[in-house]
Amino acid sequence: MISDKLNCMVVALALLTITTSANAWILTLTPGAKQIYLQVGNGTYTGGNYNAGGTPANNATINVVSLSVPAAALGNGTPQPMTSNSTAANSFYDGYNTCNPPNQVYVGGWARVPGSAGSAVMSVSTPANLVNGAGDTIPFSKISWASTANGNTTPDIAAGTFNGSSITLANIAVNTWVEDCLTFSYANSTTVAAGTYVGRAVYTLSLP
Amino acid sequence: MKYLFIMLTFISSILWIAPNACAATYRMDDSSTLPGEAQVKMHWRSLGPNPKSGNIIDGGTAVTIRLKTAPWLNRIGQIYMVLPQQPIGQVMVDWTTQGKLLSGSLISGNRTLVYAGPIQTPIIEDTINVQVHSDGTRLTSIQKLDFYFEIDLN
Repeated sequence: MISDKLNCMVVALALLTITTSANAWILTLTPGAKQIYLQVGNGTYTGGNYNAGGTPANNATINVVSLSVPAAALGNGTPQPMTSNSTAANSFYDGYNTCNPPNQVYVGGWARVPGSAGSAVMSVSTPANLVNGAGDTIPFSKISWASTANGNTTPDIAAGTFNGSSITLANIAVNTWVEDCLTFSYANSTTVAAGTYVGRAVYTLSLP
Repeated sequence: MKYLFIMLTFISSILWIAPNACAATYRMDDSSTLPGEAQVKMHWRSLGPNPKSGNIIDGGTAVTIRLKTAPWLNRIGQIYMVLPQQPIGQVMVDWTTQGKLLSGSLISGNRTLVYAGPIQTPIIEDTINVQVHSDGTRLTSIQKLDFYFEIDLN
């Protein structure tokens, strides 16, 4: 009994010494990376929609919005509706029928950062003109768009008119999903040379 | 005679304190653990936030744990890994070992048993593969998790 107590005493005295030298084992965690998702026209989610745990995937499709102005209406000032080859109707958020292609083009996106502050900026940029094979031009400013979505009369993405430069469409708060459907139209306010005029609008989502 | 009385008083005091010391919990010296500070790059569990995996981030690394157990040689005890509560909310850790220590999991603010039995060597060493899981929206900057070990003696 005395021997056990002496052992304990030795342990107790030894602990007085080692406790002061005990270290903490340290793991240093670095935050997750920022993430953004932008969909213009057709997009891809794998594993189901967002609300079912799906995750976004790359979709290299570049959709086309076009029209053919009837000769009788050429330059008469009546805006001409444009249609697209987009088939994106349902939101990948929950599968809701958000847009009505081909007249409407789905545009949506989200951003994620470590934390809850900040926002991403969605914008679109174009060159000054659409150009045909002969070098004739139509200013991009002749094309406008309306913005809406089924079940949402207050668009998050602004309606507007291309200006041959960059236009801010929306500020997307982090960890939120923004989506709308854009309907394009051509002003048809001038007579232009015959031909197929082509130009590309580039949509960008940036997260500082 | 006076000297003998003082000695007996001192010894009796120690004998009175010692049993309490034996039953207590002691923080252990793990200063030889390699690496002493491991870097863990956290990754989002899902590409994009979603209701299933939310904003969970995961990361992992290997650490060679070295616990100095010399003070408790030939004693029987239980060794626990401890992770205090964290400012970034709940952190969950799980690990596998090579067999000297027990595999397990741990939620911040708690401790988990990693060894139970006789202390037969002055150092207990094992390499563990540790995985860390946390809320990525709360981890906005580098965060240090200070683990430590403690021993309960029977």
